[in-house]
Amino acid sequence: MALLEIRNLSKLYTSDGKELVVLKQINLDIKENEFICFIGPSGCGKTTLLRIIAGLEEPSSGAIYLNGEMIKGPGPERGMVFQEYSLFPWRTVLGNVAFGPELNGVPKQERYERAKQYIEMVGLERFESRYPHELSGGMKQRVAIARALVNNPKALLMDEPFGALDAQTRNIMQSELLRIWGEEKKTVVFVTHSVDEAIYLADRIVILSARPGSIKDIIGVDFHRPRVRTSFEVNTIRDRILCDLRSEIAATC
Amino acid sequence: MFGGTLGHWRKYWITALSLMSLVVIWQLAAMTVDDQVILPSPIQVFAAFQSSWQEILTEDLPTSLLHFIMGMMAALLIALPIGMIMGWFRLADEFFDPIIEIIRPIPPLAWIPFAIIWFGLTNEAAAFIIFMGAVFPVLINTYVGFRSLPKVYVESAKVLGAIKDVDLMRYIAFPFALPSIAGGVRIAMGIAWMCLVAAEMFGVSTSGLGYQIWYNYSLHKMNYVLLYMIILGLLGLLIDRSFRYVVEDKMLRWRVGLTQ
Ligand SMILES: Nc1ncnc2c1ncn2[C@@H]1O[C@H](COP(=O)(O)OP(=O)(O)OP(=O)(O)O)[C@@H](O)[C@H]1O
Ligand SMILES: [Mg+2]
Repeated sequence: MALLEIRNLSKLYTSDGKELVVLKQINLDIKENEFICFIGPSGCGKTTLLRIIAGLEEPSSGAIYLNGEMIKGPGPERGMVFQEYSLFPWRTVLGNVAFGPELNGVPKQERYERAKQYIEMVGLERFESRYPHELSGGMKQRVAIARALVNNPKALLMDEPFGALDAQTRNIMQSELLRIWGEEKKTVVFVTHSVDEAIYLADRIVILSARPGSIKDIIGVDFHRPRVRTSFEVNTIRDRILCDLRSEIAATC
Repeated sequence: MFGGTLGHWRKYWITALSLMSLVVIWQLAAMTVDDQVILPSPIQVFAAFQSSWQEILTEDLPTSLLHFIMGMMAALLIALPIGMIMGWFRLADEFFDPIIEIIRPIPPLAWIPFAIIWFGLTNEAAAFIIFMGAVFPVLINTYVGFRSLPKVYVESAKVLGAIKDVDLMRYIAFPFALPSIAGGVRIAMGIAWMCLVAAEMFGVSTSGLGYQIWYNYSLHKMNYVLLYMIILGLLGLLIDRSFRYVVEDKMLRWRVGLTQ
Protein backbone atom coordinates (compact mmCIF):
# COMPACT_ATOMS: atom_id res chain seq x y z
CA MET A 1 0.00 0.00 0.00
CA ALA A 2 1.17 3.49 -0.76
CA LEU A 3 1.88 5.93 2.04
CA LEU A 4 0.01 8.78 0.36
CA GLU A 5 -2.87 8.20 -2.02
CA ILE A 6 -4.21 11.17 -3.94
CA ARG A 7 -7.63 10.30 -5.36
CA ASN A 8 -9.59 12.34 -7.93
CA LEU A 9 -8.36 15.52 -6.31
CA SER A 10 -9.73 18.81 -7.63
CA LYS A 11 -9.55 22.29 -6.21
CA LEU A 12 -11.32 25.42 -7.26
CA TYR A 13 -11.25 28.87 -5.75
CA THR A 14 -14.07 31.36 -6.02
CA SER A 15 -13.08 34.98 -5.85
CA ASP A 16 -15.36 37.86 -6.90
CA GLY A 17 -17.98 35.33 -7.98
CA LYS A 18 -15.61 33.86 -10.56
CA GLU A 19 -14.53 30.28 -10.34
CA LEU A 20 -10.90 29.39 -10.84
CA VAL A 21 -10.05 25.74 -11.29
CA VAL A 22 -6.56 25.27 -9.89
CA LEU A 23 -6.21 21.49 -9.73
CA LYS A 24 -8.12 19.01 -11.85
CA GLN A 25 -8.48 15.29 -11.28
CA ILE A 26 -5.13 14.48 -9.73
CA ASN A 27 -4.49 10.79 -9.05
CA LEU A 28 -1.19 9.64 -7.62
CA ASP A 29 0.24 7.08 -5.23
CA ILE A 30 3.36 8.00 -3.29
CA LYS A 31 5.29 5.13 -1.76
CA GLU A 32 6.97 5.03 1.61
CA ASN A 33 10.51 6.51 1.56
CA GLU A 34 9.97 7.81 -1.94
CA PHE A 35 11.38 11.14 -3.06
CA ILE A 36 8.81 12.80 -5.34
CA CYS A 37 9.30 16.08 -7.15
CA PHE A 38 6.48 18.15 -8.55
CA ILE A 39 7.40 20.49 -11.33
CA GLY A 40 5.21 22.71 -13.45
CA PRO A 41 4.66 26.23 -14.73
CA SER A 42 4.10 29.06 -12.25
CA GLY A 43 0.55 29.25 -10.97
CA CYS A 44 -0.34 25.68 -11.93
CA GLY A 45 -1.26 24.79 -8.36
CA LYS A 46 1.89 23.18 -6.92
CA THR A 47 1.69 25.09 -3.66
CA THR A 48 -2.04 24.44 -3.49
CA LEU A 49 -1.49 20.69 -3.89
CA LEU A 50 1.13 20.65 -1.16
CA ARG A 51 -1.10 22.68 1.14
CA ILE A 52 -3.93 20.21 0.64
CA ILE A 53 -1.59 17.34 1.54
CA ALA A 54 -0.52 19.30 4.62
CA GLY A 55 -4.17 19.78 5.55
CA LEU A 56 -3.99 23.57 5.41
CA GLU A 57 -6.48 23.66 2.55
CA GLU A 58 -9.49 21.49 1.79
CA PRO A 59 -9.98 19.81 -1.58
CA SER A 60 -13.09 20.77 -3.54
CA SER A 61 -13.57 17.16 -4.48
CA GLY A 62 -11.61 13.96 -4.08
CA ALA A 63 -9.43 13.14 -1.12
CA ILE A 64 -5.93 12.28 0.07
CA TYR A 65 -5.22 9.29 2.29
CA LEU A 66 -2.24 8.80 4.53
CA ASN A 67 -1.78 5.12 5.38
CA GLY A 68 -5.38 4.61 4.28
CA GLU A 69 -6.75 7.38 6.50
CA MET A 70 -8.32 10.44 4.98
CA ILE A 71 -6.47 13.71 5.66
CA LYS A 72 -8.80 16.17 7.33
CA GLY A 73 -6.46 18.79 8.74
CA PRO A 74 -2.86 19.54 9.60
CA GLY A 75 -0.96 17.11 11.80
CA PRO A 76 2.57 16.48 13.00
CA GLU A 77 2.91 13.32 10.91
CA ARG A 78 3.24 15.61 7.88
CA GLY A 79 6.02 18.16 8.23
CA MET A 80 6.24 21.13 5.91
CA VAL A 81 8.96 23.51 4.81
CA PHE A 82 7.46 26.64 3.30
CA GLN A 83 8.39 28.57 0.19
CA GLU A 84 8.99 31.73 2.25
CA TYR A 85 11.02 31.92 5.45
CA SER A 86 8.79 30.73 8.26
CA LEU A 87 10.97 30.49 11.37
CA PHE A 88 9.46 32.12 14.44
CA PRO A 89 11.58 35.27 14.81
CA TRP A 90 11.02 35.46 18.58
CA ARG A 91 12.56 32.03 19.17
CA THR A 92 16.18 31.03 18.90
CA VAL A 93 17.24 28.23 16.56
CA LEU A 94 16.95 25.82 19.49
CA GLY A 95 13.55 27.22 20.47
CA ASN A 96 12.29 26.91 16.91
CA VAL A 97 13.38 23.32 16.52
CA ALA A 98 12.09 22.36 19.98
CA PHE A 99 8.65 23.85 19.23
CA GLY A 100 6.96 20.64 18.07
CA PRO A 101 8.03 18.56 21.11
CA GLU A 102 7.14 21.48 23.38
CA LEU A 103 3.57 21.37 22.11
CA ASN A 104 3.45 17.65 22.79
CA GLY A 105 4.46 18.29 26.38
CA VAL A 106 7.94 16.79 26.14
CA PRO A 107 9.93 17.97 29.20
CA LYS A 108 12.45 20.76 28.62
CA GLN A 109 15.62 18.74 29.01
CA GLU A 110 14.45 16.02 26.68
CA ARG A 111 13.06 18.28 23.98
CA TYR A 112 16.26 20.32 23.89
CA GLU A 113 18.27 17.14 23.55
CA ARG A 114 16.13 16.01 20.65
CA ALA A 115 16.25 19.43 19.04
CA LYS A 116 20.03 19.54 19.35
CA GLN A 117 20.33 16.21 17.63
CA TYR A 118 18.50 17.58 14.58
CA ILE A 119 20.31 20.91 14.67
CA GLU A 120 23.51 18.89 14.47
CA MET A 121 22.10 16.90 11.60
CA VAL A 122 21.64 20.08 9.56
CA GLY A 123 25.09 21.28 10.65
CA LEU A 124 24.11 24.29 12.75
CA GLU A 125 25.25 23.25 16.25
CA ARG A 126 27.28 26.44 16.55
CA PHE A 127 24.22 28.58 15.90
CA GLU A 128 21.64 27.08 18.25
CA SER A 129 21.28 30.18 20.42
CA ARG A 130 21.02 32.59 17.50
CA TYR A 131 17.81 34.30 16.44
CA PRO A 132 16.53 33.84 12.87
CA HIS A 133 17.50 37.37 11.83
CA GLU A 134 21.11 36.44 12.52
CA LEU A 135 21.07 33.58 9.98
CA SER A 136 21.59 33.44 6.24
CA GLY A 137 18.82 32.22 3.94
CA GLY A 138 20.34 28.76 3.61
CA MET A 139 20.71 28.43 7.39
CA LYS A 140 17.10 29.46 7.88
CA GLN A 141 15.91 26.68 5.60
CA ARG A 142 18.17 24.20 7.37
CA VAL A 143 16.53 25.14 10.64
CA ALA A 144 13.11 24.82 9.02
CA ILE A 145 14.04 21.30 7.90
CA ALA A 146 15.29 20.38 11.38
CA ARG A 147 12.13 21.83 12.91
CA ALA A 148 9.96 19.68 10.66
CA LEU A 149 12.04 16.51 11.20
CA VAL A 150 12.14 16.67 15.00
CA ASN A 151 8.44 15.70 15.04
CA ASN A 152 9.43 12.51 13.24
CA PRO A 153 6.86 12.97 10.45
CA LYS A 154 6.08 10.24 7.96
CA ALA A 155 6.13 12.70 5.09
CA LEU A 156 8.17 15.85 4.59
CA LEU A 157 6.48 18.38 2.31
CA MET A 158 8.80 20.97 0.81
CA ASP A 159 7.60 23.92 -1.24
CA GLU A 160 10.50 25.31 -3.28
CA PRO A 161 12.58 25.43 -0.08
CA PHE A 162 15.76 26.45 -1.89
CA GLY A 163 14.10 28.80 -4.37
CA ALA A 164 15.49 31.94 -2.76
CA LEU A 165 19.07 30.67 -2.47
CA ASP A 166 22.02 31.31 -4.76
CA ALA A 167 23.14 28.52 -7.07
CA GLN A 168 26.09 27.26 -4.97
CA THR A 169 24.19 27.22 -1.69
CA ARG A 170 21.36 25.54 -3.48
CA ASN A 171 23.58 22.71 -4.72
CA ILE A 172 24.99 22.20 -1.23
CA MET A 173 21.51 22.16 0.27
CA GLN A 174 20.39 19.57 -2.27
CA SER A 175 23.13 17.12 -1.37
CA GLU A 176 22.58 17.78 2.34
CA LEU A 177 18.90 17.03 1.89
CA LEU A 178 19.70 13.75 0.16
CA ARG A 179 22.06 12.83 2.99
CA ILE A 180 19.38 13.56 5.60
CA TRP A 181 16.80 11.69 3.57
CA GLY A 182 19.15 8.73 3.50
CA GLU A 183 19.64 8.87 7.28
CA GLU A 184 16.03 9.48 8.22
CA LYS A 185 14.15 7.45 5.64
CA LYS A 186 11.28 9.82 5.01
CA THR A 187 8.83 10.23 2.21
CA VAL A 188 9.63 13.58 0.63
CA VAL A 189 7.24 15.56 -1.54
CA PHE A 190 9.27 18.35 -3.06
CA VAL A 191 7.99 21.17 -5.24
CA THR A 192 10.42 22.96 -7.52
CA HIS A 193 10.72 25.23 -10.51
CA SER A 194 14.08 23.86 -11.43
CA VAL A 195 14.40 20.88 -13.77
CA ASP A 196 17.98 20.28 -12.65
CA GLU A 197 16.98 20.21 -9.02
CA ALA A 198 14.22 17.71 -9.74
CA ILE A 199 16.53 15.37 -11.66
CA TYR A 200 19.23 15.59 -9.01
CA LEU A 201 16.84 14.75 -6.18
CA ALA A 202 13.84 12.73 -7.26
CA ASP A 203 12.94 9.07 -7.56
CA ARG A 204 10.02 10.20 -9.68
CA ILE A 205 9.27 13.55 -11.25
CA VAL A 206 5.63 14.53 -11.65
CA ILE A 207 5.08 17.12 -14.34
CA LEU A 208 1.99 19.25 -13.92
CA SER A 209 0.22 21.00 -16.76
CA ALA A 210 -0.53 24.71 -16.78
CA ARG A 211 -3.61 25.78 -14.83
CA PRO A 212 -5.83 23.90 -14.21
CA GLY A 213 -3.00 21.69 -12.98
CA SER A 214 -3.28 18.03 -13.84
CA ILE A 215 -0.65 15.36 -14.14
CA LYS A 216 0.89 15.57 -17.58
CA ASP A 217 3.69 13.08 -17.20
CA ILE A 218 5.51 11.04 -14.57
CA ILE A 219 9.17 10.31 -15.13
CA GLY A 220 11.07 7.75 -13.08
CA VAL A 221 14.69 8.65 -12.42
CA ASP A 222 16.33 5.43 -11.40
CA PHE A 223 20.06 6.01 -11.72
CA HIS A 224 22.47 6.07 -8.81
CA ARG A 225 23.03 8.91 -6.40
CA PRO A 226 24.97 11.12 -6.11
CA ARG A 227 24.03 12.00 -9.66
CA VAL A 228 26.36 13.86 -11.94
CA ARG A 229 24.50 16.94 -13.04
CA THR A 230 25.96 16.85 -16.55
CA SER A 231 25.92 13.13 -17.33
CA PHE A 232 24.37 11.73 -20.48
CA GLU A 233 21.32 10.17 -18.75
CA VAL A 234 20.60 13.41 -16.91
CA ASN A 235 20.73 15.34 -20.16
CA THR A 236 18.33 12.95 -21.85
CA ILE A 237 15.78 13.29 -19.05
CA ARG A 238 16.26 17.04 -18.89
CA ASP A 239 15.43 17.34 -22.58
CA ARG A 240 12.28 15.33 -22.14
CA ILE A 241 11.06 17.40 -19.18
CA LEU A 242 11.92 20.69 -20.85
CA CYS A 243 9.99 19.59 -23.90
CA ASP A 244 6.95 18.75 -21.73
CA LEU A 245 7.16 22.03 -19.90
CA ARG A 246 7.73 24.10 -23.03
CA SER A 247 4.46 22.98 -24.55
CA GLU A 248 2.70 23.81 -21.25
CA ILE A 249 4.19 27.25 -20.89
CA ALA A 250 3.38 28.00 -24.53
CA ALA A 251 -0.24 27.08 -23.73
CA THR A 252 -0.39 29.73 -21.04
CA CYS A 253 1.17 32.56 -23.02
CA MET B 1 33.90 60.86 16.29
CA PHE B 2 35.91 59.68 19.29
CA GLY B 3 34.52 56.20 18.88
CA GLY B 4 33.95 53.50 21.52
CA THR B 5 34.18 54.31 25.22
CA LEU B 6 35.64 57.74 24.69
CA GLY B 7 32.54 58.81 22.75
CA HIS B 8 30.44 57.29 25.49
CA TRP B 9 32.12 59.35 28.18
CA ARG B 10 31.90 62.44 26.07
CA LYS B 11 28.12 62.01 25.94
CA TYR B 12 27.93 61.82 29.74
CA TRP B 13 30.00 64.94 30.14
CA ILE B 14 27.85 66.87 27.72
CA THR B 15 24.67 65.70 29.48
CA ALA B 16 26.04 66.76 32.85
CA LEU B 17 27.15 70.11 31.46
CA SER B 18 23.76 70.68 29.86
CA LEU B 19 21.86 69.99 33.08
CA MET B 20 24.25 72.11 35.11
CA SER B 21 23.77 75.07 32.82
CA LEU B 22 20.01 74.68 33.17
CA VAL B 23 20.29 74.92 36.97
CA VAL B 24 22.67 77.89 36.77
CA ILE B 25 20.44 79.80 34.35
CA TRP B 26 17.43 78.98 36.50
CA GLN B 27 19.18 80.26 39.63
CA LEU B 28 20.24 83.47 37.87
CA ALA B 29 16.73 83.98 36.49
CA ALA B 30 15.19 83.42 39.92
CA MET B 31 17.62 85.91 41.46
CA THR B 32 16.67 88.47 38.82
CA VAL B 33 12.92 87.95 39.28
CA ASP B 34 13.40 87.85 43.03
CA ASP B 35 9.87 86.64 43.81
CA GLN B 36 9.38 83.22 45.33
CA VAL B 37 5.82 82.95 44.03
CA ILE B 38 6.60 83.68 40.40
CA LEU B 39 9.83 81.70 40.15
CA PRO B 40 11.29 79.83 43.10
CA SER B 41 15.03 79.31 42.85
CA PRO B 42 16.79 75.93 42.87
CA ILE B 43 17.99 76.66 46.37
CA GLN B 44 14.45 77.31 47.58
CA VAL B 45 13.22 74.14 45.92
CA PHE B 46 16.02 72.21 47.58
CA ALA B 47 15.03 73.69 50.92
CA ALA B 48 11.49 72.45 50.31
CA PHE B 49 12.92 69.05 49.57
CA GLN B 50 14.95 69.01 52.76
CA SER B 51 11.97 69.78 54.93
CA SER B 52 9.52 67.40 53.25
CA TRP B 53 11.47 64.43 51.92
CA GLN B 54 10.37 62.13 54.70
CA GLU B 55 6.73 62.90 54.09
CA ILE B 56 7.24 62.39 50.38
CA LEU B 57 8.86 59.01 50.88
CA THR B 58 6.40 57.71 53.43
CA GLU B 59 3.16 59.21 52.15
CA ASP B 60 2.90 60.91 48.80
CA LEU B 61 5.15 58.66 46.77
CA PRO B 62 3.58 55.39 48.02
CA THR B 63 0.09 56.81 47.50
CA SER B 64 0.80 57.93 43.95
CA LEU B 65 2.57 54.70 43.06
CA LEU B 66 -0.34 52.75 44.51
CA HIS B 67 -2.79 54.69 42.31
CA PHE B 68 -0.55 54.19 39.31
CA ILE B 69 -0.04 50.47 39.84
CA MET B 70 -3.69 49.79 40.59
CA GLY B 71 -4.82 51.67 37.50
CA MET B 72 -2.20 50.09 35.23
CA MET B 73 -2.90 46.58 36.53
CA ALA B 74 -6.61 46.96 35.99
CA ALA B 75 -5.95 48.31 32.50
CA LEU B 76 -3.71 45.36 31.62
CA LEU B 77 -6.14 42.87 33.12
CA ILE B 78 -8.99 44.17 30.97
CA ALA B 79 -7.14 45.29 27.84
CA LEU B 80 -4.93 42.26 27.21
CA PRO B 81 -7.66 39.57 27.10
CA ILE B 82 -10.13 41.73 25.18
CA GLY B 83 -7.46 42.89 22.73
CA MET B 84 -6.30 39.31 22.16
CA ILE B 85 -9.80 37.93 21.71
CA MET B 86 -10.71 40.79 19.36
CA GLY B 87 -7.56 40.27 17.36
CA TRP B 88 -8.16 36.56 17.01
CA PHE B 89 -11.91 36.05 16.63
CA ARG B 90 -13.75 38.08 14.02
CA LEU B 91 -17.05 37.85 15.91
CA ALA B 92 -15.52 39.30 19.09
CA ASP B 93 -14.00 42.08 17.00
CA GLU B 94 -17.36 43.00 15.52
CA PHE B 95 -19.05 42.85 18.90
CA PHE B 96 -16.58 44.87 20.98
CA ASP B 97 -15.58 47.40 18.35
CA PRO B 98 -18.69 49.65 18.55
CA ILE B 99 -18.54 49.73 22.35
CA ILE B 100 -14.90 50.70 22.32
CA GLU B 101 -15.36 53.32 19.64
CA ILE B 102 -18.09 54.98 21.73
CA ILE B 103 -16.18 55.04 25.01
CA ARG B 104 -12.65 55.66 23.75
CA PRO B 105 -13.06 59.30 22.60
CA ILE B 106 -14.29 60.39 26.06
CA PRO B 107 -11.28 62.07 27.72
CA PRO B 108 -10.37 60.08 30.84
CA LEU B 109 -10.62 63.13 33.08
CA ALA B 110 -14.29 63.52 32.16
CA TRP B 111 -14.87 60.45 34.32
CA ILE B 112 -13.75 62.22 37.52
CA PRO B 113 -17.25 63.10 38.76
CA PHE B 114 -18.47 59.55 38.29
CA ALA B 115 -15.31 58.18 39.86
CA ILE B 116 -16.06 60.19 42.99
CA ILE B 117 -19.75 59.20 42.99
CA TRP B 118 -18.95 55.52 42.51
CA PHE B 119 -15.86 55.12 44.65
CA GLY B 120 -15.82 58.15 46.94
CA LEU B 121 -12.50 59.81 47.78
CA THR B 122 -10.59 56.55 47.69
CA ASN B 123 -7.54 55.07 46.04
CA GLU B 124 -9.93 53.19 43.80
CA ALA B 125 -11.36 56.42 42.43
CA ALA B 126 -7.93 57.69 41.41
CA ALA B 127 -7.02 54.28 40.00
CA PHE B 128 -10.22 54.32 37.96
CA ILE B 129 -9.23 57.54 36.18
CA ILE B 130 -5.79 56.09 35.45
CA PHE B 131 -7.44 52.93 34.22
CA MET B 132 -9.62 54.91 31.80
CA GLY B 133 -6.53 56.59 30.40
CA ALA B 134 -4.40 53.46 30.12
CA VAL B 135 -6.82 50.80 28.98
CA PHE B 136 -7.28 51.84 25.34
CA PRO B 137 -3.67 52.19 24.19
CA VAL B 138 -2.94 48.70 25.52
CA LEU B 139 -6.11 47.28 24.02
CA ILE B 140 -5.60 48.81 20.60
CA ASN B 141 -1.94 47.80 20.38
CA THR B 142 -2.70 44.26 21.49
CA TYR B 143 -5.40 44.07 18.86
CA VAL B 144 -3.18 45.47 16.12
CA GLY B 145 -0.34 43.13 17.09
CA PHE B 146 -2.61 40.11 16.81
CA ARG B 147 -4.13 41.32 13.57
CA SER B 148 -0.81 41.86 11.81
CA LEU B 149 0.35 38.28 12.46
CA PRO B 150 1.59 36.84 9.14
CA LYS B 151 -0.27 33.75 8.02
CA VAL B 152 2.90 31.74 7.51
CA TYR B 153 3.64 31.62 11.27
CA VAL B 154 0.15 30.32 12.03
CA GLU B 155 0.42 27.70 9.31
CA SER B 156 3.91 26.64 10.38
CA ALA B 157 2.59 26.16 13.90
CA LYS B 158 -0.40 24.20 12.68
CA VAL B 159 1.78 21.88 10.67
CA LEU B 160 3.97 21.39 13.74
CA GLY B 161 0.95 20.34 15.78
CA ALA B 162 -0.58 23.52 17.21
CA ILE B 163 -4.19 23.08 16.18
CA LYS B 164 -6.11 24.63 19.10
CA ASP B 165 -6.81 28.36 19.18
CA VAL B 166 -5.35 28.64 22.71
CA ASP B 167 -2.06 27.13 21.57
CA LEU B 168 -1.86 29.37 18.52
CA MET B 169 -2.66 32.45 20.59
CA ARG B 170 -0.25 31.57 23.36
CA TYR B 171 2.72 30.31 21.35
CA ILE B 172 2.41 32.30 18.13
CA ALA B 173 0.17 35.36 18.23
CA PHE B 174 1.15 36.58 21.70
CA PRO B 175 4.94 36.47 21.29
CA PHE B 176 4.59 37.98 17.84
CA ALA B 177 2.40 40.79 19.20
CA LEU B 178 4.60 41.45 22.23
CA PRO B 179 6.57 44.36 20.73
CA SER B 180 3.33 46.04 19.75
CA ILE B 181 1.84 45.35 23.19
CA ALA B 182 4.96 46.73 24.87
CA GLY B 183 4.63 49.89 22.78
CA GLY B 184 1.03 50.20 23.91
CA VAL B 185 1.98 49.75 27.55
CA ARG B 186 4.61 52.47 27.22
CA ILE B 187 2.11 54.92 25.76
CA ALA B 188 -0.41 53.89 28.42
CA MET B 189 2.08 54.55 31.22
CA GLY B 190 2.69 58.05 29.90
CA ILE B 191 -1.03 58.77 29.80
CA ALA B 192 -1.52 57.12 33.18
CA TRP B 193 1.07 59.43 34.71
CA MET B 194 -0.79 62.50 33.41
CA CYS B 195 -4.12 61.14 34.59
CA LEU B 196 -2.62 60.46 38.00
CA VAL B 197 -1.72 64.09 38.56
CA ALA B 198 -5.07 65.34 37.29
CA ALA B 199 -7.06 62.82 39.33
CA GLU B 200 -5.22 63.67 42.53
CA MET B 201 -5.45 67.41 41.84
CA PHE B 202 -9.18 67.41 41.31
CA GLY B 203 -9.88 65.95 44.69
CA VAL B 204 -10.25 62.27 43.98
CA SER B 205 -7.52 61.80 46.56
CA THR B 206 -6.30 63.44 49.78
CA SER B 207 -2.63 62.71 49.36
CA GLY B 208 -0.18 61.92 46.59
CA LEU B 209 2.19 63.93 44.43
CA GLY B 210 -0.59 65.45 42.33
CA TYR B 211 -2.61 66.34 45.41
CA GLN B 212 0.42 68.08 46.93
CA ILE B 213 0.84 70.26 43.87
CA TRP B 214 -2.68 71.59 44.21
CA TYR B 215 -2.57 71.85 47.97
CA ASN B 216 0.69 73.81 48.02
CA TYR B 217 -0.57 76.02 45.23
CA SER B 218 -3.52 77.00 47.42
CA LEU B 219 -0.98 78.03 50.06
CA HIS B 220 1.12 79.74 47.35
CA LYS B 221 4.13 77.69 48.43
CA MET B 222 5.40 77.62 44.88
CA ASN B 223 8.79 76.12 45.70
CA TYR B 224 6.90 73.05 46.92
CA VAL B 225 4.79 73.03 43.75
CA LEU B 226 7.94 73.03 41.67
CA LEU B 227 9.50 70.34 43.83
CA TYR B 228 6.58 67.99 43.24
CA MET B 229 6.62 68.81 39.53
CA ILE B 230 10.28 67.83 39.33
CA ILE B 231 9.67 64.62 41.26
CA LEU B 232 6.82 63.70 38.90
CA GLY B 233 9.01 64.36 35.89
CA LEU B 234 11.95 62.35 37.20
CA LEU B 235 9.73 59.48 38.26
CA GLY B 236 8.01 59.39 34.88
CA LEU B 237 11.41 59.28 33.22
CA LEU B 238 12.59 56.53 35.56
CA ILE B 239 9.51 54.38 34.92
CA ASP B 240 9.81 54.78 31.16
CA ARG B 241 13.56 54.04 31.16
CA SER B 242 13.28 50.95 33.36
CA PHE B 243 10.44 49.63 31.24
CA ARG B 244 12.43 50.13 28.08
CA TYR B 245 15.47 48.53 29.63
CA VAL B 246 13.67 45.46 30.92
CA VAL B 247 11.24 44.90 28.07
CA GLU B 248 12.88 46.23 24.95
CA ASP B 249 16.51 45.41 25.66
CA LYS B 250 16.04 42.12 27.48
CA MET B 251 12.75 40.52 26.46
CA LEU B 252 12.53 41.72 22.86
CA ARG B 253 16.09 41.02 21.82
CA TRP B 254 14.81 39.10 18.80
CA ARG B 255 13.46 42.34 17.35
CA VAL B 256 16.94 43.69 16.67
CA GLY B 257 17.40 43.78 12.94
CA LEU B 258 13.71 43.49 12.22
CA THR B 259 13.06 47.13 12.97
CA GLN B 260 15.14 50.14 11.85
N1 LIG C 1 -6.59 31.48 -1.45
C1 LIG C 1 -6.70 31.62 -2.79
N2 LIG C 1 -7.79 32.22 -3.33
C2 LIG C 1 -7.90 32.38 -4.66
N3 LIG C 1 -6.99 31.96 -5.56
C3 LIG C 1 -5.89 31.35 -5.09
C4 LIG C 1 -5.68 31.16 -3.69
N4 LIG C 1 -4.49 30.52 -3.52
C5 LIG C 1 -3.98 30.35 -4.75
N5 LIG C 1 -4.82 30.83 -5.70
C6 LIG C 1 -4.60 30.77 -7.15
O1 LIG C 1 -4.38 29.43 -7.50
C7 LIG C 1 -3.40 29.34 -8.51
C8 LIG C 1 -2.34 28.35 -8.13
O2 LIG C 1 -1.60 28.89 -7.05
P1 LIG C 1 -0.35 28.14 -6.44
O3 LIG C 1 0.23 29.03 -5.43
O4 LIG C 1 -0.75 26.79 -6.01
O5 LIG C 1 0.62 28.05 -7.70
P2 LIG C 1 2.12 27.51 -7.77
O6 LIG C 1 2.14 26.44 -8.78
O7 LIG C 1 2.64 27.19 -6.43
O8 LIG C 1 2.87 28.79 -8.33
P3 LIG C 1 4.40 29.23 -8.10
O9 LIG C 1 5.23 28.29 -8.87
O10 LIG C 1 4.44 30.60 -8.67
O11 LIG C 1 4.66 29.17 -6.64
C9 LIG C 1 -2.88 30.74 -8.77
O12 LIG C 1 -3.46 31.22 -9.95
C10 LIG C 1 -3.36 31.53 -7.58
O13 LIG C 1 -3.68 32.83 -7.96
MG1 LIG D 1 4.12 28.02 -5.14
